[in-house]
Amino acid sequence: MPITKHKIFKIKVSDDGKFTISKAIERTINEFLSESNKVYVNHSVTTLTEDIQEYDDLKTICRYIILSIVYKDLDNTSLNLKGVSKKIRDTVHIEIESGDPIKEPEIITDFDKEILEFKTKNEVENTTANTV
Amino acid sequence: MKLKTVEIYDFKSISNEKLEVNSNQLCLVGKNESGKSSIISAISYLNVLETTLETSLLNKSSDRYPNGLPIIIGTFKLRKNVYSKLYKLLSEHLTNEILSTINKQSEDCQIQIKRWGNGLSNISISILSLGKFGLKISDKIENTAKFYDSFFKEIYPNIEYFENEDLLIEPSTIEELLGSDKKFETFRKLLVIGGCKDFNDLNNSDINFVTTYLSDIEIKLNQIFKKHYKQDQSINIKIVPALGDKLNLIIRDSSNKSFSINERSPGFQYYFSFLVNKLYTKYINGGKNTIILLDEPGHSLHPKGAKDLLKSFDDISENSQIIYTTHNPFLAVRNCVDSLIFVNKSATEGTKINKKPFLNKYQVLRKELGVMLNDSFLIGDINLVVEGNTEKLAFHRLFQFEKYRDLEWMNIYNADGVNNIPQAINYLGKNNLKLSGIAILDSDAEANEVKKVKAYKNNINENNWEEIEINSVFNDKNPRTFEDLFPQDKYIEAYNNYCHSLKSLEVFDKAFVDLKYIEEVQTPIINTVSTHFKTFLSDDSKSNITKQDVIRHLLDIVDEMPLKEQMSYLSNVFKLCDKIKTNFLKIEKYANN
Repeated sequence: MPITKHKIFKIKVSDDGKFTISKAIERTINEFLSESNKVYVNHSVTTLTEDIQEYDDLKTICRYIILSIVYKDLDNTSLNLKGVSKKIRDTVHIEIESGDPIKEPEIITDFDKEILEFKTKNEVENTTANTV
Repeated sequence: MKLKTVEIYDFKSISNEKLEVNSNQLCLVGKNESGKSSIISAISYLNVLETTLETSLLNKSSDRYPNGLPIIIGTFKLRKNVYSKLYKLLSEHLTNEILSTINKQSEDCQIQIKRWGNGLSNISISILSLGKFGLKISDKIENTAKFYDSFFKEIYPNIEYFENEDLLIEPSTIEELLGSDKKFETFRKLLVIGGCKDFNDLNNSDINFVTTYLSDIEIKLNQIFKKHYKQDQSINIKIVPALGDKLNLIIRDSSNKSFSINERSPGFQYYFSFLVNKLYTKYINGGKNTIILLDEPGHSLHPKGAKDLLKSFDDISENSQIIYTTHNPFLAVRNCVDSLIFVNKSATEGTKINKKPFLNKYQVLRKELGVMLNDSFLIGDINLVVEGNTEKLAFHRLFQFEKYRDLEWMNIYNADGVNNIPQAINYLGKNNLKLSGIAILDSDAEANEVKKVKAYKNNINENNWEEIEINSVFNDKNPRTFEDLFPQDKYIEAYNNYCHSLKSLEVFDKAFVDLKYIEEVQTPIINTVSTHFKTFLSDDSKSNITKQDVIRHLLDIVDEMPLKEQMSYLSNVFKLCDKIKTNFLKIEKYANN
């Protein structure tokens, strides 16, 4: 099963309080999100602040923006998407995004019955052979 | 991989239904709102990678309503070479222990795919070879994504569902061609068939390159369409830049006038687009099976266009499978009645497939389509008057052989019994409708009596009426009926097949035993088979052979033969058809216009 993980990006806010996402950071985030084995689930943004004393006043200054991306990691799972086609990648991403797999319905078709019968017959034959 | 069955659970109006796909061409017939389109749509969800199941599709009577999803289960038959491919793939994804439980080669392996949601974790796959091995493989695969990638790419058939709007060609810019909007898909496919491998090539700034490139595409397209578009051989295709950056498709025909594709009739646009999609599928898939699903195709088509489309479906069904719905009598499969599926809906059970093995599916088809099929909507100028349904069914099918195509539009008038032929001819002939015709008569005592009736004699002697007797293709005067035109061994084989098809209907009182063809049977052969038939009935039974069904079985057997063998088996029937054709040409000049 894919494991839920967090990836944290720390973005510095300049001293004048201006906040811009540099090309480098943008590229890093984009590259992270476009990795086939990372499936975006959610994200949160918080600020990292510092209280400084200025003229006897306590002033809160924003130092960093913390972007936390929650994702499912498909590395080391059966759904590892490295080297597979776009169609499979999109299908798996939609599946992960829509939540946990649905339990297989208990429908026994004629086809399933044939498999079960074959299995039972084989088991009986094996047991008989072992007994003999 | 050939689709064999589809089981549908909780999909729209379908609570639970199983469709058996017994032939490569299935035609679903039923009234509006019966659920035909739902069946087609449900099958399209077997295309796991390109469709998304949604809760809005769930049957409202389902226990899981409103939050569940429908369940679709398909079984497919694998050809020997496809199974070998599957085995090779499985050997890369199963442990040796599990792999040892299945055979390396199989000629009768079937595969079942169950889908109850979206994605690869909400499907399961099982394989079965009756009596040899059976296994649910999806639980045992080690690298699911990699396995399914190869499975869907190399083994699983393409499932293509076309709605009417998909089958229209829209002028498009190169940017639109490079995008993914479905509206321009047919145009993309047209260019690909024409040899365009990369749409960016059309964006080249060198005008000489682009114009010659387009010209090469046009030449190739024209060659292809000349071969496949039989309706109008004068058709010429041009792809021209329009409104600056758009590419438009221009069609030039025998009128020597050019029309943009959108200026042509909806029927033409549909047929043309369907042809593009069909050729593209063949181009892309090579030998891989494709399942084409169409909902009410060609509803704007002229009967001639509809018949051409049906012929196109026949071509497709040689290598692929096609399942479609229709209300159009010209698009309903008539050659193989087992390819007709009747769908109806009841308030309690929802959509159901009528599985009753009809003895006379044609009558049901007429009822479902609301028309008297093949009785023609108008009585023809030249009528072929036959004794009954047997001859009518047979001639209808025989006239579909290329050399008798001219006769196909001749009205086949069923007199409903040999004794009614004089009245029929009197009604059609000089005293009433003043039409022309040819009467086909058996060579037996009953027919000889008919020839003496005044109403018959008065009309048949006119210049615009002809009589052809069955014995006119034989050199002796033995009594014969229509059935005696066919080789006796094949007729008996067809009769046996027909009797086997009756088993589930509990017609027979005793177990049926095949009639053996040992030596030449005295004509009329129908007397011999009728006597044999009666030996399996109870004394008070009123059942009798449905002769048209025996002929239907016989023509089904002939359909499976190579053309050369068909010619030999049907030589007497063809001699009769040749006589009909000669007489048709003879009286054509007298026909009223």
